[in-house]
Parts: sequence; C-alpha cells; structure tokens
Amino acid sequence: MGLLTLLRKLRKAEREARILILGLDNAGKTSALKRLSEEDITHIMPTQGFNIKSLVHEGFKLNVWDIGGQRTIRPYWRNYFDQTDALVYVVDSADGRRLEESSMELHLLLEEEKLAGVPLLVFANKQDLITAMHAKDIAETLDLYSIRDRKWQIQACSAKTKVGLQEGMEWLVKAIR
Amino acid sequence: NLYKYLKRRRERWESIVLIGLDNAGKSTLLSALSGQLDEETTPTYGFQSEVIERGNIRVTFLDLGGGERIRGIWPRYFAEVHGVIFVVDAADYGRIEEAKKVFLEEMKDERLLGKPVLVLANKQDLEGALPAEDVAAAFGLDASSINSSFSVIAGCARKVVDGKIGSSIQKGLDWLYGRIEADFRNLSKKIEKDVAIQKEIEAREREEKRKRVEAMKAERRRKAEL
Ligand SMILES: Nc1nc2c(ncn2[C@@H]2O[C@H](COP(=O)(O)OP(=O)(O)OP(=O)(O)O)[C@@H](O)[C@H]2O)c(=O)[nH]1
Ligand SMILES: Nc1nc2c(ncn2[C@@H]2O[C@H](COP(=O)(O)OP(=O)(O)OP(=O)(O)O)[C@@H](O)[C@H]2O)c(=O)[nH]1
Ligand SMILES: [Mg+2]
Ligand SMILES: [Mg+2]
Repeated sequence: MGLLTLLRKLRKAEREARILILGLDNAGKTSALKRLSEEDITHIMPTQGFNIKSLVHEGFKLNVWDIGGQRTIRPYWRNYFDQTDALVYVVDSADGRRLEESSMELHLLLEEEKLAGVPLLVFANKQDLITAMHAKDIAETLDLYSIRDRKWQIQACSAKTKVGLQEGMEWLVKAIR
Repeated sequence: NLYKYLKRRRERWESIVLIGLDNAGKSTLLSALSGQLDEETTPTYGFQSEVIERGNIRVTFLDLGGGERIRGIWPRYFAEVHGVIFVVDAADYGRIEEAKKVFLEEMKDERLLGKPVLVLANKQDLEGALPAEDVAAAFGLDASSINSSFSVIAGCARKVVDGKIGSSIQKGLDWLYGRIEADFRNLSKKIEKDVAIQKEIEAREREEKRKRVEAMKAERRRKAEL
C-alpha cells in the first residue's frame, strides 16, 4: 500500500472526508451548500473564489469545497482536486440550453487523473421550476451512461425547497465509506 | 515480470448487467456478491460496479437503477455485456405484471439477442414469495420456452452464509457462467461488433454536441461585443 493510500485510509478511519462541489455558474452550488448547513439563501452572489463548510452527517465530517463556476474561474478548478473523496456536480435542470456545455465540462473533469475513480453525485437542481428537466433526461444529456470507472448517482433536488438534498448526501456518505 | 505477463495474457474479462424494477434487490445482490452484504441499500439512480475474480476470469457486475425515471439508461449498457441477471421481488405480487412488461420489453433489444439471461425470483425469505416456476409462468417463460438462453431460479439476495452468497443463487450464477463459457467466441464477436457501432454513434453524438456548444459560446461572445 502506498503512503498516500495509507493516509487516505487513516483519514477515513477518522471519519472525515473532502467533498468538491463543481458545476457551471448559476447552477446553485452555493445555494445547495448553504441549505445543507441551514443557512439563509436569500442573498447569494456569484462565487468569485470558493467557500468551505464543514457538514456533519451520520457522524461523518464532510469538508465541502464550493468553487465558483464562471468561465473565467473554471481554469482554477484543478487547484482543488487533491485528496478529493467525492465529487458533487450541480446542474441547473431548467437551463436546457447550457446543459450540453455543462456536460462537456463534466467529462473534462472525469478525465482528470487526480479525480480518477472518485464517486460522482450529480444534483439535478432547481426542480421546483416547472421547466425543469427530469433526472433521466439530464443523465442522457450529460452522457452519464458512458462512465464506467466510478459509481455515479443522479439526484433531483431543489436548493430552494430543500427537496432531495439530504437524499443526495446520504448516497454520498455511503459511497465514500 | 514474466509470470505476471503470462497470467495477464490468460486473463479474461466478462461482464454481466443487473436489471429489474426498483426495490427488486439488485444492489443488495451486488453487495452480497462482493462479500460485503449491505442490508441498508438506498435506491440507485445511477450506476455502480464490482469486479469478482473467478480463477483467471474477471467478472464485472454492473448494477443499474430500476426506478421508472432511470430505467431508460439500461440499453446503453447492453452492447458490452455477456449476460444479464433480471431480479424480481417475488413477494411483491402487485408488481409482477409490471416486472413482466419491463422484462419482455428489454428482451426485445437486439443487443441482448442470444445472450444468457438469469431471472432471479428474489426475497424467498418473505412469506408467500412466488417460487421460480410461478415467476417463469408469469413471465411467459413456460417449460418449453425455457431454452439455453433463459433460466429462472428462486433465491434470497439478502442472505449470506460464511461471506458467501446462498447456494441457490450460486447455482444460478454457475448456470450463467457456464452459458457464457460455452458460447464465449460468439458472444465476444457480437459484443465487439455492437460496441463498435455504439461507439461510433456516441462519438457522432459527442461531436454534434461539441459543435452546438461552440456555436452557443460564439453567439454569447458576439452578443457581449454588441
Ligand atoms: N428556483 C430556484 N432557484 C435556485 C435554486 N438554486 C439556486 N437558485 C438560484 O440560482 C442562482 C444562482 O445560485 P448560486 O447558488 O449562486 O449558484 P452557483 O452555482 O453557486 O453559481 P457560481 O457561484 O457563479 O458558480 C441564484 O439566483 C439562486 O437563487 C433552486 O433550487 N431553485
Ligand atoms: N426480505 C428480503 N429483502 C430483500 C432481499 N433482497 C433485497 N431486499 C431488500 O429490498 C430493498 C431493496 O433492495 P435494493 O437492493 O436496494 O433494490 P434495487 O433493485 O437495487 O433497487 P433500485 O436501486 O431502486 O433499482 C432493500 O430494503 C433490501 O434490503 C431479500 O432477499 N429478502
Ligand atoms: Mg457560488
Ligand atoms: Mg439499487
């Protein structure tokens, strides 16, 4: 066992994990994270850098990194890949036009060596909007079926109503355990 | 080293997909197969896999979500698999019709043609669970139509003895492995052909998508300049 693997195992024994939240700008990453930590989401601005929050879930401490998704910021995503235990990818389910762009960004991420094998949770966010696409159609548009090297799950949710967020996190915690 | 090289050369890959309605027990079965029974699975809306070694053969089991909203992705995996396990909750009479309908629909897929399919009448520990014959009958797989491609067995995915899957499910697996073994060359040829076709289609889809995204980005730049 390599030193890194060993360190990872140790960290897991301590029940701590590092989660990365990525996705295009305006997808709802910051809103989802704030909702999960029971914070107010009425005054959220586009993220210029990143936010970090620690969530405790079933005795697990999740250190969650939420990085801004604007195009000018995306090149910096890779600075945060190290030691990631799970990737949360958020999409705006009501923005069909940008879903394909989101798909391309996602597949670039999946090719990153540092994220190899890392479980993927896709939050199909903004399901409260009537124009929101169903999770299955989003899974198709994102080509999730082409993923063979890691487990993935798509969870319909709304950062606004909170529906689905908890279920998603439950899957995530199981996936990294 | 040479030994490893020779070993790898003799190595063989097979893959088997687990499908069936939501709540049938697919993820439970996957966990039992991997030797770590998970008694508290959560519904799958996606994909996970496990590799099990059988001598020189590495068998990859693909576990997919069975819910109505996610079932549509199943056929995306059909080209590459050697065999199928269709899991049925044999104690849920109310959904046998639905299970049959979904089963027959999937079996029409040309990419599964001639591939062995094991139907598992699961949850036999529950009172009144339908025996294999009844599930076979409900699916229209009567004795005469049960040929070399189909087999129906009764079992209990959530029962592991000494870290091993129950003997009836093991028997079913052995049947499946045996069918794959017996027909390996034909299956491989079919898989190679179907996967190539699928790759081509998916590459074309991706290329079209890339073009659309480029066009959209250009449009956005143009608007920003105005
Ligand atoms: N209707 C609805 N709006 C949402 C939902 N989630 C987020 N929004 C809105 O979408 C906008 C963007 O939300 P953010 O959380 O800032 O998005 P982000 O992904 O963090 O964006 P960047 O930081 O720029 O990458 C805000 O106006 C939110 O109020 C949701 O579930 N439903
Ligand atoms: N009694 C009994 N319960 C079982 C058996 N196998 C699975 N279950 C239970 O049935 C429920 C559903 O099992 P899963 O393995 O999650 O079902 P699934 O087919 O993966 O469902 P989806 O992921 O939604 O498609 C869980 O509560 C399991 O514990 C069994 O053999 N006997
Ligand atoms: Mg943000
Ligand atoms: Mg499942």
